[in-house]
Amino acid sequence: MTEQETMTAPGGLIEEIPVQDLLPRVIEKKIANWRLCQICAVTLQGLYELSYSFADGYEFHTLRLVIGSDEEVPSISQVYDCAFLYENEMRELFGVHIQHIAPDMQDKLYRIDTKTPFAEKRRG
Amino acid sequence: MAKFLPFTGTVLHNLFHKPVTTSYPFVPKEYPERTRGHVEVDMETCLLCGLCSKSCPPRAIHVDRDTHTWSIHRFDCVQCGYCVQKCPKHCLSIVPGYPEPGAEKKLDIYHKPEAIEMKMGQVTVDLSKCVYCTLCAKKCPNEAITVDRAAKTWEIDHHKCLRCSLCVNNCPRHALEIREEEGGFKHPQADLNQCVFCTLCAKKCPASALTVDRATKTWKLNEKECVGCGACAEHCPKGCITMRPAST
Amino acid sequence: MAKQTVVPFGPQHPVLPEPIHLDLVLEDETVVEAVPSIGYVHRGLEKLVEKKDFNEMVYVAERICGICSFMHGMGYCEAVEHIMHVDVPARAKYLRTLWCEMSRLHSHLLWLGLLADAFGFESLFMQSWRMREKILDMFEASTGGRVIFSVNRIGGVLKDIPPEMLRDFLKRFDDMGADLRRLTRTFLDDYSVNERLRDVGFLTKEQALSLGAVGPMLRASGVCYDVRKTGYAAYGDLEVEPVVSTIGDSYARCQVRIGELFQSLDLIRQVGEKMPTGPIAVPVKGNPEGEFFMRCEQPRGEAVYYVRANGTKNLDRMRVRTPTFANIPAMLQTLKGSQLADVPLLILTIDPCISCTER
Repeated sequence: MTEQETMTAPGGLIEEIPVQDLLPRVIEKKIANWRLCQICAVTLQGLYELSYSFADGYEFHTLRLVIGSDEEVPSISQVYDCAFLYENEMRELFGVHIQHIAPDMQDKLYRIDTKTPFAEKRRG
Repeated sequence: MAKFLPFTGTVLHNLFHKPVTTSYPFVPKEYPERTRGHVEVDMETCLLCGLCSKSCPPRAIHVDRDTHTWSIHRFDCVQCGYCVQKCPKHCLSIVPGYPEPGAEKKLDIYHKPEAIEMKMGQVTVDLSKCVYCTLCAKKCPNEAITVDRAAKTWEIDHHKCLRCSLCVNNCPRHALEIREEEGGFKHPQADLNQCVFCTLCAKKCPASALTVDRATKTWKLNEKECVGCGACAEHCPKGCITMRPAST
Repeated sequence: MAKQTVVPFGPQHPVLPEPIHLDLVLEDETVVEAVPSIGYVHRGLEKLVEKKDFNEMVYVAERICGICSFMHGMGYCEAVEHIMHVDVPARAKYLRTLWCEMSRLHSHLLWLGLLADAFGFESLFMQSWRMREKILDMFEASTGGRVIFSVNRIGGVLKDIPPEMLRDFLKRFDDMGADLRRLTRTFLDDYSVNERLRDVGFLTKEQALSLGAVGPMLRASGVCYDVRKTGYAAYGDLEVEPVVSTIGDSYARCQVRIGELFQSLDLIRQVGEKMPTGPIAVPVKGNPEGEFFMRCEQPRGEAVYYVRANGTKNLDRMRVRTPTFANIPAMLQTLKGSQLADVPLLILTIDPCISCTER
């Protein structure tokens, strides 16, 4: 399937990129008028997998970062204003180190008692 | 185009008609037949296998094989109906009628009518039909079956077996069956000349049907409580207990 | 420069269906900025994937929210079905579509009632909810529950709708069409309603796209985007045209939702005509392995379900990005420059479902 076809397929296209490519790719998307769909994080054995999803019409493209638990990621809220909610949530629940979120809620978005509850898995 | 008072038609209609609200609770509400109100159990068919308890999302159901009870915390149940799907004997159903409001949380306990009614047959395998596909082992909720494809062995731990018949239903070769014990129910009999009254059999009995007293050298069986599982016979260090058909 | 005061709005407020807190920075009566503060209904439902297996998670997913309950369950089931390559039978897809459209109807009627209550028109609120009761009765007759249906499972649906019941429902929906037309005339034509809704809370097309708005918020600002056109469930066989308005104020959003009401009635009629016979579920064996992004159109907008499985019976991650979560930045934008008296109304125009937002 061409890249165009995978983007309109159900689930869209998932592409893994290194951390330093995040801001340039996001700015490319902004210039091409893609809208930010969602940002989410998964904990996998000491690593975090961040997925940034963008949509344009019915096309769906996800950029994926795989980072260690101490690595720092730049915020994209300077490019996409609406990203602040997703990034604050990721920092509060997972403990991902995101820098320069605008506005920064200082871990008071959900105001939970436990610190970073999603950071490790507990088999129940 | 903005109009004045387009709602007047509805107002006039409502002025000259009865209200649509009913005077519940004086007029009782009629529920359609599919309403998920509460869970009911048919204890005659229930095997106490505990599958419903393991699958209940809020863990509202508890099954106790020692005391032969099936209990449900009425106010924890969310009426999702997952237990009804999982029950292998289809003895659970979800019927209309919500739990009554009350000042305390309600726990409903149901007893199995007579422990003796639970005819404890055993799972037997026809090795000429068995292909060692390991499906029965995978389906067993209590991991009682061990199948080795390479060594072509099939083993079952009868104490772990819940007699839920999931293995029997899923065997593609129909090589498994649960046969009821011939001669009806079996009870243990102890050879008192060999018995040392170590009380191990009484400890192992899941129905607490044995009373053994070391001091007075007595060995007593409560036939009403005995479920005929044979755990006492298996654990006796002197091998002095045998299972005999119950005398009627 | 006028003096600035900070007024706390919520979490308890008569017009809000769920608690959300906003700190409004006011100059005289005009809102300059709004700072949101959520977290009152956070239950951490996504962490339950560690304890409950992927079949039980259907029941957790549908309890994220009471209004959008069916679609959460369906979105999760479709995501897992895509991962496990399960082919859901056609009748199950049509039944799911029917219940989806009924959910959309009852959700929009609920919203219309809340909107009427927000500007003080309580009788209209009662009439809207009266009509919603008829839909809830139909839900109870077909699924067993008025709000939480528990009728989705991985591989299909649990309950079938026999043909007589379906014919009865279709007849009731036809009768409802005439009543709805009478009700919505008040919303669209009444003088005082127009005064409250027109020219309040503008959101331009560029703002809507860059702030990530979804659903009726986006469509009322002129963007033609409806996830139903991607053809999940049975929507591939039905004719769906997004209802769009170009004005971009609260009146436009009300118009778009009312248009969707009539569109849902039409879709239900199409489903009733085309419903195939056949099984309603297929057995599913094994555990899921893989990941999938599922998008579906909830009444409030586009919801994204991300499910990641690793081959065991517990999932690695289930993430729901609900439409209200995406609409909050757009809501904060519409609040800038509005009057204090319009703030409850503007919060309601995004159709806030805070339990969905916070899970």
